Amino acid sequence: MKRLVIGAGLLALSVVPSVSAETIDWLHIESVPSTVEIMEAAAKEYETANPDVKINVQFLENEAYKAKLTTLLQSDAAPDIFYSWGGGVMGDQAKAGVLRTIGEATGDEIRAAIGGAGINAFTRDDALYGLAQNVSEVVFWGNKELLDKAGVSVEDMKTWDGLLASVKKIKEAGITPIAIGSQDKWPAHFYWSYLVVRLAGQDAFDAARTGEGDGFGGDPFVKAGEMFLDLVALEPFQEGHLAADYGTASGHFGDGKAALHLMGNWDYKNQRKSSESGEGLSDDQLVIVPFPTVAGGAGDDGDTLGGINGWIFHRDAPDSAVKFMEWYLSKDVQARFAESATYIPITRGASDTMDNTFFKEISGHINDAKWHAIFFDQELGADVGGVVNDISVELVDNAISAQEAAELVKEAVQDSQ
Amino acid sequence: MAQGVKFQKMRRMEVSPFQWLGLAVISLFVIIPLYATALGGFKSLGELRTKPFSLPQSWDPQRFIDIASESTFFLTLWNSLLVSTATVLLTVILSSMTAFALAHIRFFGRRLLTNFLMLGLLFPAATAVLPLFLKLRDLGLLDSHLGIILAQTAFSLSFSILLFHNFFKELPDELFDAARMDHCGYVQIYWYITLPLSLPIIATVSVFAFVSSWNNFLLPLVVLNSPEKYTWTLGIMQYRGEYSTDWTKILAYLTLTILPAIAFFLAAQRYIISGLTGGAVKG
Amino acid sequence: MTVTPDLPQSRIKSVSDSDPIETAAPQKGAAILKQRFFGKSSVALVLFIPLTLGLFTLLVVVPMIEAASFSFYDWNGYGPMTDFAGLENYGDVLTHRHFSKALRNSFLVIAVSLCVQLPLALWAALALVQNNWGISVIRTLFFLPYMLAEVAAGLMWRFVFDGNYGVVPAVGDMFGVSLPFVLGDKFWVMPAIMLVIVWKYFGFHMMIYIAALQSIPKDVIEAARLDGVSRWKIIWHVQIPMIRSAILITVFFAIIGALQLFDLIIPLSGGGPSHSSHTIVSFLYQFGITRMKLGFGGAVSVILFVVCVAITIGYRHYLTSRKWD
Repeated sequence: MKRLVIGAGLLALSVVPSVSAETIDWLHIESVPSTVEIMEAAAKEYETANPDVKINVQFLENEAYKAKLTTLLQSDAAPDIFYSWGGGVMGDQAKAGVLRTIGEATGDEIRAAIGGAGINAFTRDDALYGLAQNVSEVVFWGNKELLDKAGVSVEDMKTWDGLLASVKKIKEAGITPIAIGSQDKWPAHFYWSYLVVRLAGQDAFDAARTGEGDGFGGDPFVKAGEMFLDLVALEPFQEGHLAADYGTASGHFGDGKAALHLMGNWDYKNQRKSSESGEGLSDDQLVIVPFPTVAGGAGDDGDTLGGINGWIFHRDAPDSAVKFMEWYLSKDVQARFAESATYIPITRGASDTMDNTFFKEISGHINDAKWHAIFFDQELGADVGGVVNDISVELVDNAISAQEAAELVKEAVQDSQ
Repeated sequence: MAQGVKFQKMRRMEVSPFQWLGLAVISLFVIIPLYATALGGFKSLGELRTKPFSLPQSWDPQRFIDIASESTFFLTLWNSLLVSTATVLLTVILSSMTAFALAHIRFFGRRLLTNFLMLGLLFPAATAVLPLFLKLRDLGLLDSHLGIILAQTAFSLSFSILLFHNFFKELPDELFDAARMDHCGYVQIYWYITLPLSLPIIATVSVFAFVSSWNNFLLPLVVLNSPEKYTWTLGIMQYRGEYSTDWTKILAYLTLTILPAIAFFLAAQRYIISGLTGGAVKG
Repeated sequence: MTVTPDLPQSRIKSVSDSDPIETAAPQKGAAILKQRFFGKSSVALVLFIPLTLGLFTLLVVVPMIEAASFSFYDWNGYGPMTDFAGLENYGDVLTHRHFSKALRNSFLVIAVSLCVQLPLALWAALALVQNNWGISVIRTLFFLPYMLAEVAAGLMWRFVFDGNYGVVPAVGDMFGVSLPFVLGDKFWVMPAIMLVIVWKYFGFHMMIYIAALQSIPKDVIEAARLDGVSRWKIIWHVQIPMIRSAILITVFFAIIGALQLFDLIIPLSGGGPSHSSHTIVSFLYQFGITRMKLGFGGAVSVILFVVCVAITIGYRHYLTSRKWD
């Protein structure tokens, strides 16, 4: 890459001494070809409008990306812009000094467009490290037909108790209530996390993560485990769920073999792809059931759990890299992704043109939420987050008590401090 | 010796019915998962998930064609071939030389050196990847095939030296006596006597080194940055997503990419099986 | 300490004395050799040793020592390693609630490698040592699992074990029993993984045996057969004793390989359910590397290293003591 830059520089020098092209390495993890096409077209467009900048689009697959990032950031080949889930991992990177702060390089316009939640997600110790791109939310995806057959309505599942009652009813009707890919662990952690969001709320969560008071050993966290175990006791999951990964569970749901699936909005497309017919459940057959509320919980009923993903910058990244991202995250460019129902852009107004009703509904939830909690396994960093995943899957397996689970998360927080 | 007589005798040593039965059972055990892979490339994702062992609904080779017509496919295969072949050559040359010295030359610190060279087997390589990466970086070997070749060779040394050492120790005395008569030095003994007699073990070590290099994922991943230098194991990435994986494409891809490894094995097998030539031993 | 299992000399005497300590009086042949070639040996040593030694030290030993040094720090892989932790990581590993299970599983894998895998490999090697077209095909087939990438192997076996559509429940149906989702069952998951291990690696040991069997001079077997010795007796009294050193080395590989095993575990079970199927190294990978706790990972590595060294020394001692019987 460096040689390319120098080469291009020399070439430019010899022809037109005043212009030298700057190469920006942009590393993404998007593997859906149609989405990559839009991204690459945008990069081309930017290059045409800014002849002094060359965008070098690079790709690494999700798992490979995670495995490589630690080493990559410590070499000359580190990309200028790379994908991030924010949270604790970004915090570690920031602390280690491998990231660039971009506060001084970003204008008010983009900050306003991305909005407070997006800016917060990429801020550590008052320094801004990245720009948010998209939001996601975890909901119960419901199979209308099966729910009807069991005589259960979306309204019935408004509260946790309602959900438990509905699960019983669905089971009595001979239908598998819930599909889950327990082997991947993170699908199970949605349950515990969401119950924490409901029971503890933002303030208690923020206190717990810094180890204040009882930390994660406190009452609401134990209660979250207990309520999760209440659900597990009903044996609501498909047979063999401990050996199922996310793809299997998604396909199971897409085949119409389970009534509910707690998953992020990406499952809208995935349940089709993984289903036996390749068609999955159509829009008419699908319904969104927001995660139930819990009576007496400290959290707001409208709080959501999901992700805010975006782009962060290597410490050597030039200003032009930030400028490019500002343009890329502008409403006009992001609207292209909204239209193709790829993801829900965070940029204000970009999702207005979205005509997918499900994505619109989810977008509405997130906008209305007082707290959009980031996936705990990302928010709490690789270490504590990993423990949350561990205990969640052990709760699903009924192999641990709620008390033990909460204690283990608490200990992990203590260890990491 | 009359070929005919020998042939007849050999026939008597052939596989008995009981052995055939056992071989058939093991074959079945071996084949079942392989069969699912080879057919998986013809199926849709849903079909793969629900009917992994039935014949595919259609024999449309589209996925295989798609993969093979991808411009990067043959490039990544070529890169893998380059890296693996170089690794095999370097491994065989270095480890056979060293093993020969350890087995046949007495020198100060030989025991210590033998033990030292075995250390590579006793420590989990996964932990050493980060420091190894930093070493390669400092040596300026990042994003180069040479970096991978050297690292893979280094990591296969312990194992290969042990195999060679074990084999060399067993070579009959008489051969070396003969060499002594001719006033051969160690280098000549190594080159003219030991190596030609060691074809089975050379071929065996080559196969092992080739397979582990061919399938290596982590090292190319951390070392290589330019897509045009990628090995096939990195090429597989394009079929995996954050939340979904195109398993049928991956199965088709795996089926295609194991073929060179099989070809290498078939070529090597001739030398493994040819064994010691009768004449040399009697010599 | 010696790490090489000291392999007893077989029928054919080795050229050099293979172990200066074990032999009180050096063998005569070796002494002569030494005398005769001492002058020339330096050339060979300069040619044969330094390259290997340099490459190995630089790219294997030094990184390993560095990785081991992580174990005394709290470090996430980024930036300088400054947070000295003493032996804390070792304490964390040894008291980790899943560590003992991982250790136990690793020893289970050793047991199955020694008791099932090696006999199977030897049996197959004896049957497949002949050379003809059909046998060559079977030999290639048996070696295929070893040639296949671990990820692929893990994925395929997931299909076989799938409780809805896989082979295992179909076999269960045949016998009228309902087999659980083996990879989701705390009891069955290790047997299932061990089955895959045998499947994947028996071909490796088989090839070592075949290479060794090929090196037995054909006239030895020929002569035995002409004397009317039965097939079984040839196997027991000629072939197996003559590949004894190959067998001993595969035992060593099987033990060490079992202790280092991990890349099959991740795609198969991910260590689950509820962390019941981790081996030492998959435990290391899951709780150390992917969680960016490199100090923890370093501590597991050092502990495993110590275990491996202890086993190696023990094995060597066992062989030496047997030899003196």
